[in-house]
Amino acid sequence: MKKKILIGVLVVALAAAGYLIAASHYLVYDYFRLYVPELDPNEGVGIWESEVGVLGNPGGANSRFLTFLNGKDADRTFYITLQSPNPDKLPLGYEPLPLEYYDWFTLPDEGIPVKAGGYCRAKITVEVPCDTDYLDKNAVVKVQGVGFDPSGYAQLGAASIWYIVVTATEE
Amino acid sequence: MMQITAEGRCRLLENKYKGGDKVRKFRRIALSLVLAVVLLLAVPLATMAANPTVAITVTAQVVSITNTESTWAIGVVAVDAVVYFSATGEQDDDYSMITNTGSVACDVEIQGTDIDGGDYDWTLAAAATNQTYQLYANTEGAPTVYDVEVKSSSYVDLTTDLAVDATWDWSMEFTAPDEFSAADDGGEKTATVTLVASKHV
Repeated sequence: MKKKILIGVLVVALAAAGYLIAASHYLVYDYFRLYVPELDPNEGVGIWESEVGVLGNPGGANSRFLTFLNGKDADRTFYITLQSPNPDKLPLGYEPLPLEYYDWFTLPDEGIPVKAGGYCRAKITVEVPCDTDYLDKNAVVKVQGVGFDPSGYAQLGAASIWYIVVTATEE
Repeated sequence: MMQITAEGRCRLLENKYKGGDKVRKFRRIALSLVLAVVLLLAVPLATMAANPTVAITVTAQVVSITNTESTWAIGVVAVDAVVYFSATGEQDDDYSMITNTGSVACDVEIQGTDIDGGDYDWTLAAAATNQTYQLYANTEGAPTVYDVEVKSSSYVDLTTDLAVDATWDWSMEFTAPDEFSAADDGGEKTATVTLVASKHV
């Protein structure tokens, strides 16, 4: 009888562990990617995530961290904003995300100070309202971080390009 | 013909029931495992089916730039004065240099700001007028032509498709307002330009 209980507990524990690992694989991925060699910045400003794809349904929400890299040349404070892309440079069938939908995004509302040679991770949340009428469009918006160096005139920034499709059909 | 004794029959039955126990035990374990697997798969699938989702996928490539000159002290200017982004204020078309230090080709865009400070700010515009200044950058292939209008309202292309490790020389031409307010105290004014890189698509 004890054996059966032990086996039962083991099976449940294994199942729970498997579920947790599967559910948190993004965290695991995020943890490991912090140590890739390319994240060693020299000078200037950069971003790790060049492009981001968002496929969502009305009422859905999700978050993602963007990694901004600060060079060894200066301490900077990163300000994260949304920018409209140049419509002439978009892939066929895409349009700049209209300004009225910018409130789907939640960005860090304060500057993020980063020491020279360091990096910061900015949490970007996308929340699609349940009653949105912006469906089945291919939209693009840039999420950019400008590293403000108070001693400089020419400031540097880097942006990731977000491709957004919202459809009523649940995936 | 073989005869089975009563003792032998008991042994056979005992073995049969012992075997049956093993099978039942195996069945229980197998059932537990199957249930665990079904639960493992069913819970997330049921959650996904019940709730709207937003899936986010990321392309991990580094977009990164440097620029050699970060400061510009224009100095005291007269009405309509033209000053270049250079060490002396004279025209130097390749004074500053952008380098693509990322892992993909990138586009670099530029944006300016109004000049703040003193009693009166100067607005950045396409043409220098009263309390309004203009700022133009030079372009690839025609470095002496300053025809990239730097705006405060939006980013404009400075260079596109800059290859990995490639460099881009550039400068700017500043034109002071053609009329200053007589009431301006002549105090120091400041502004910035911002260069932003993104992946070339």
